[in-house]
Amino acid sequence: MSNDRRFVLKGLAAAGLLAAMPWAQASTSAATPLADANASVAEAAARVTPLVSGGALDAAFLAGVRKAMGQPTGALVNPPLQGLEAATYQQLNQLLNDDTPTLLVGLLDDAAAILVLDLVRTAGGRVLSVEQHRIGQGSAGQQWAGALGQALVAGAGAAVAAGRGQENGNAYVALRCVI
Amino acid sequence: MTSKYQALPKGVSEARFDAAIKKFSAALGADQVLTSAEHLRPYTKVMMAVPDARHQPSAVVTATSVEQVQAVVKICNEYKIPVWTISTGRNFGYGSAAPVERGQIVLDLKKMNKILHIDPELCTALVEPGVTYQMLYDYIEEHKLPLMLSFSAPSAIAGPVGNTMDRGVGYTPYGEHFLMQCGMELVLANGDVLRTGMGGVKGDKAWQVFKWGYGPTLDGMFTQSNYGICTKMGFWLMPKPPVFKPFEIKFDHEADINEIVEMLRPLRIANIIPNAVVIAGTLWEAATCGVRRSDYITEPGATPDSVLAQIRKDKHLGAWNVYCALYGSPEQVEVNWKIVTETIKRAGKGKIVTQEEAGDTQPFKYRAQLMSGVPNLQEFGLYNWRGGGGSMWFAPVSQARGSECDKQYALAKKILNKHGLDYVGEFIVGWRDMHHVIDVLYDRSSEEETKRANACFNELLDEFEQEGYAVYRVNTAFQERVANSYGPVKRSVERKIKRALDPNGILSPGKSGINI
Repeated sequence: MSNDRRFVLKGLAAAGLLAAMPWAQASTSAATPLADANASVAEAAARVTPLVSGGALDAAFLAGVRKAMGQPTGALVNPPLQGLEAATYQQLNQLLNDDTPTLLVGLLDDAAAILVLDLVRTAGGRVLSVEQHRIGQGSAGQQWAGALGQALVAGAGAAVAAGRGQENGNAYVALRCVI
Repeated sequence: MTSKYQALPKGVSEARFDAAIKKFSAALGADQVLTSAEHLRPYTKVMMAVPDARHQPSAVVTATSVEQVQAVVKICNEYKIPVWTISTGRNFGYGSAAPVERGQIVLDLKKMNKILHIDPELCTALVEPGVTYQMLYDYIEEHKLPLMLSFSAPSAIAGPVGNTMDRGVGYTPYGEHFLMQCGMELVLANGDVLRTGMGGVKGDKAWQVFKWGYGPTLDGMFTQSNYGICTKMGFWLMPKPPVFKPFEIKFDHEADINEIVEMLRPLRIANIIPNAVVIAGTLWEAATCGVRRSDYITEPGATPDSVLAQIRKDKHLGAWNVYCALYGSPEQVEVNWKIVTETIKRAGKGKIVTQEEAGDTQPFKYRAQLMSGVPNLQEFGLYNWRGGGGSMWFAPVSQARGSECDKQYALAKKILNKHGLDYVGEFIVGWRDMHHVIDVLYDRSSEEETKRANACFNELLDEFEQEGYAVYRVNTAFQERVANSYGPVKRSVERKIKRALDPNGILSPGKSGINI
């Protein structure tokens, strides 16, 4: 499994699409090594990796994730990475080369979402939810993104549905996966 | 009627499917057989303007060896289970990993991902279906082999077997991938393993160097078809040239397409420009360098020409942006460069941009990478132009004549705009043909826009057919429709072959419209 994950993420990184995709890992406890794609959601939730793709709602979404992780004001264990620098590659490779169950929660643009979902498929992961949204950039959008970040970590769906129906907003994909 | 499965194969009861799943688990291991909604969801991520449910698989099985593929085929025959095979499953915009018909099981060959052999002297490769271009690139780099890959735009994550079996194209002199294929291994519906070309000869060493073998050459009939499952494929690699000189020619007006093609065709046929030249429209280029429609306009519908003009101005793009490259020794490149520049000078239009002038700017950078066999995923930016996850490739073929391209472009733009969608397209110049590739992008989260996109795609097929054009490849939702474009006799022959090789019709029934 880790071999597949390594190749796919390496491809994403090489492509430059992860260049605009700051990501981070947060953990609430020491993660349990488990080379099993069928890890329970609870096990995976011990380590959360939020994914964003350089959009206007990134900060609000990440704040929501932090809040749900019980770190409302502090930094994530690893801060979001910017750009395709050596450190980015290094940290990506760390993620790829371990078999620790991880909960991926993301607010991504379409291009990034397509690639991440395919990464999950190749890794034998599970897609718990994936929703398409159109959201404005105003305060309502920021609030929605924060609520979404919390909801995706907690596994609630209500906030996810709340963002639909803004025809002129920007397109986003919200996803929640276990790998 | 409810079922514990997400779908069932057509005509197969739940009890019968239970028994088949049990056998798959015994043959492959329980962890190689997936049926839960959460595991199947990424296999149903389709971009086509039809309901997901139509392409819902009933299960996914993965195989790690030819023997396991044979075991799958045996069980499928026993229980009459249709099986849709994918290699990497990254045929984005043509159906992704989802099966052509609801209820088919997916056989995912991603774990058969060995690079079996690369010969740096003969410049050949033999790989399994799960090998990606990125894996090949890493191997070549790691071993410092003087070789160059050719691949499609989702290069890093797509693979040569899937791309070649679907007759995809790339951007180097080896860009016609099926032309460069040499030797296949296939598991047939009855479990036999066929090696094409020289592959059946005991002790043979020429499998990857001589395509034709003896008697009928069979490779072609296994591409875009459902007559066998490819488990190994050989292909040729281009020697890395001492000099690679990419360049762009920008043209200001949409009407220039006619002259561009007339100017380039002789250079392409004579191999002065040896690679698959691309002539890309404004929006293709804009989207791949990160421009989104919402940056310029929020009103729904087709993007006005005035906005296209503004994007060109802001992003320094042409109405048509031509990408070519020269390859070879310094002397060869110098001579060919002189011919190219003089030809453009004579034409009196077109601005040449060299790599030195372009630097690291996009989209030049990713185009140069594609033409030199360096994988990237920059073209995924297309999906952000409109957003919403809808994408269907419309890919009609024509002669490499300016008048034909002019006609196709005008017709496509008219139909797309009529349905409130944009022309996001490029022409890829083959030796004598044009692959006209248009990404029909739409917002799949809007039911109304999805209906419009479906109607648009149908109209594109119909109107182009009336003008004598057909597509060379199409997404799974329209494969039955497109099969009709090629006439009843071809369909009848294909069905006879299918019945002879796969009497139970278990292998990807419906692929390219072929059924028993």
